[in-house]
Amino acid sequence: MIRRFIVTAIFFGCAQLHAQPGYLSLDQRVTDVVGRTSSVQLFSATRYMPIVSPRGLANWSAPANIVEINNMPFEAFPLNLVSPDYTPFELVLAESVEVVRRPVLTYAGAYPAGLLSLGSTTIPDSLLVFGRMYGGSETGDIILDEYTKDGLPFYNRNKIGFSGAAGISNRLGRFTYRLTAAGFNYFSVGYKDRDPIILSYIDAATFSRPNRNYIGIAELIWDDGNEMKVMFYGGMNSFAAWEQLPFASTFGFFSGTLGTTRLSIQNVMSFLSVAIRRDAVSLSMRNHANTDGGSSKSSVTALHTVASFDLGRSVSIALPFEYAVREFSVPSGNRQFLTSGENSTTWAAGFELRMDFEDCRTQAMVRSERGFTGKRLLSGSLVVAVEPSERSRLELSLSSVERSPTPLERSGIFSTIRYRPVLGRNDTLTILGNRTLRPARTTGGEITYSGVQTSIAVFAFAIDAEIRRRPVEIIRSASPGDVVFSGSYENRRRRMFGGVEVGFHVDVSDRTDAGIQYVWTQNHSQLPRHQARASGTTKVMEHTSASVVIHGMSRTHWPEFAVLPGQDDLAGTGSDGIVPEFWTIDCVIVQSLGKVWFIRGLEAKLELQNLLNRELQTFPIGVTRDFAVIGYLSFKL
Amino acid sequence: MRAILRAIILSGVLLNVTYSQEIDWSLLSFSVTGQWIAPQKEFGTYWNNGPALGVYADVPVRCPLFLSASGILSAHSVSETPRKSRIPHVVLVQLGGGLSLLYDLSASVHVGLTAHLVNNTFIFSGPAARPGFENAVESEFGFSLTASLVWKSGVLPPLVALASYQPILVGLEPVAIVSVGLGVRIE
Repeated sequence: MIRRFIVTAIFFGCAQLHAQPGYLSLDQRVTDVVGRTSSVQLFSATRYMPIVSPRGLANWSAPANIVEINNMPFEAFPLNLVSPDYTPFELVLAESVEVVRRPVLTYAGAYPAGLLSLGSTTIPDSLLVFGRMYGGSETGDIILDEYTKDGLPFYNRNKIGFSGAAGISNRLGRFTYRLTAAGFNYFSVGYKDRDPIILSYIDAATFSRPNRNYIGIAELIWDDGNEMKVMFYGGMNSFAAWEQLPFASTFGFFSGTLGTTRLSIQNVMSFLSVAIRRDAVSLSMRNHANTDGGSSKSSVTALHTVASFDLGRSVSIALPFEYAVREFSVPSGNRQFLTSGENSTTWAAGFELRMDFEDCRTQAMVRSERGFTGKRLLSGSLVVAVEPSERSRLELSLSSVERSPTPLERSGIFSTIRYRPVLGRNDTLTILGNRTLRPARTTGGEITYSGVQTSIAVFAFAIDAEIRRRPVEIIRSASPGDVVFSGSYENRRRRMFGGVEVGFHVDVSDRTDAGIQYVWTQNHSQLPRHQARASGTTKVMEHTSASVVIHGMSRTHWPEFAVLPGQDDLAGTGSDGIVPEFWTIDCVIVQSLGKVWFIRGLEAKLELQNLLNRELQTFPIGVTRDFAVIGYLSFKL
Repeated sequence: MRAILRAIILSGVLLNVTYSQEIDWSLLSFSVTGQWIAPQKEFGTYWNNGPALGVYADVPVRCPLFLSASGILSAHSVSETPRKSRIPHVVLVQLGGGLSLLYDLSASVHVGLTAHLVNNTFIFSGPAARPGFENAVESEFGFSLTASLVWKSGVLPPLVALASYQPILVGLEPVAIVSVGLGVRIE
């Protein structure tokens, strides 16, 4: 039953991504898998701490919660840095990385912006030692010129330091266990001529410090030999990074730890499953020029239960329930992010009805919850799938999902000081939360036709009271030349949003397949109007495969980064806040090396990213990407 | 030009890999060489030629195609230029991997052509290296082409002579290195 615990809403009707099972350990991090294989957008100023938006129903400054690990939500992200890589999970464990790009309800959460669902593999019954590693670099560093030419700074550029993960698992009687550790190191500061902003922050203390994550995960399962299982999952992720923080108005160097502890009991009774989880994060940002540091802690402790009943005649119901205590705390005197703690007790109760007939499946779900602000939230979804033949399926999905503002959006504060030479004074620019924010609601639907080779989806949604940041003053500073702004969060008026997705997939031969995906999006400036992806993979021999991906998107507009000429203290020209269109070619060769000495199951991958070295930027400020070479190895003993 | 070079090399890799088969690691061979590395362009203007120690490994995929790897360590002192006091010494570590074509010209003479993707690590040392900072190591990729000749006398271990050229994809002005070497092959 625990497999049904929360997993239901990913079922039919939602676009899914099955990210090349078997090769997941030959990739960098979860975000890279998602970005390489689907049309989600990565929002990152430094590239290596990417934030993901599953196509537009969240926005960069106020992302909605989007990640589940083993069918349970993970909620404790630092400063709204919603990323599947800022979770206590590691790709070497991944059975699947699934993307739902529309509003969705599950047994344990309501996701107005879609969902990234991370699932770990089953622990095998015999001893297994496993691991993966990778490293690489973008090309074009000015390594020698720093010494032979005047005026060039010393800094680490865009590199992937030695990174990887390893683990061990086994069965001991009724117990199975798995222990995993991982470390990732990324230097990413761009290039002096094109990416001056982050370089201006780098000093001797942070020069050689990469963006890094260290992850540790322990899993323990006990089964009674029948249907009952007791499962423990504990994980932590220690991080440090330079990044443009979604809640702040400038770059910050911050560090901290996030983690989760989960205990779930499958089939306590034949109809009941129970789980307890605690997600927590602590974070601190160091002082840097003209910006005070700050720190915060938050946690969610929750009890989940699901009672499921099979009513016969292909009809079943489920009654999920959640009781959660959410805590936010800050040290006394804290002047950034939050100045005082907030605690709240929330609950959620749901009802799901499923009817699975021969050619038609229906799922209806309702979720009522008491949100963080104390207001009642009500969400619902209906999915109907009809299969007129074995090779085709027509799906209708309707949903209306509501979310509360986060504590940062309600009560947050972030200030930085910049000298204004035109005015002859220092100005303090401040981001403020808004305690009068109302919950946002996303309502709409999607019709999808799926055939053997073709899929077509038409979607339309309305976002009521969308929570976004409204800048009131935007400047480009004379020093260090960054875009900084004052502003506050607000509820926006209803906004319609829709588009069409078309996919075509063909098996060219039994060794080769190819696919094309095109997405047209209307009425959303932060999303590209046109996005296209073409890919081909060929198994050139039993142990060798190669693939090529061509990906492009039209320009996007980011009003928060548009500067008027009169507010441009650096150049006086202003900027339009537009990220230009781009397209790239990535190539991959995967080679199975078999057994080398005592190492079994050795596989290697060479990845050439942005092969034609086209200038590529995904965020209005920050680094651009160049031609990069990355090598991967994975093994099992 | 770079793009064309990359496309050609990639195409070659893809075509060659098309004929790959399962690897028999018991056929792994090594070569150890002494080399002379001559930096070119900006690298050669400010740093001197230097001696190097190289180790090569190759294993047949399907003759004459071999999967190969290389590691080369060399040291380069600073040239006599007006900037000499501001330039550190360099230890260069080249780690490469790729494909080789090896042909038998006769029973005792074999020739080879190797294309490698190479990671070059520049380790700077001395007082001029990164003043005020702790990290004086940087790396960058390059593509090397190596021609080799193997002579099996039947008395001595097989002897190897090689010459290679590697453009390195550094920033403002791309540089290159040329190397020649002699060594022994262990089969």
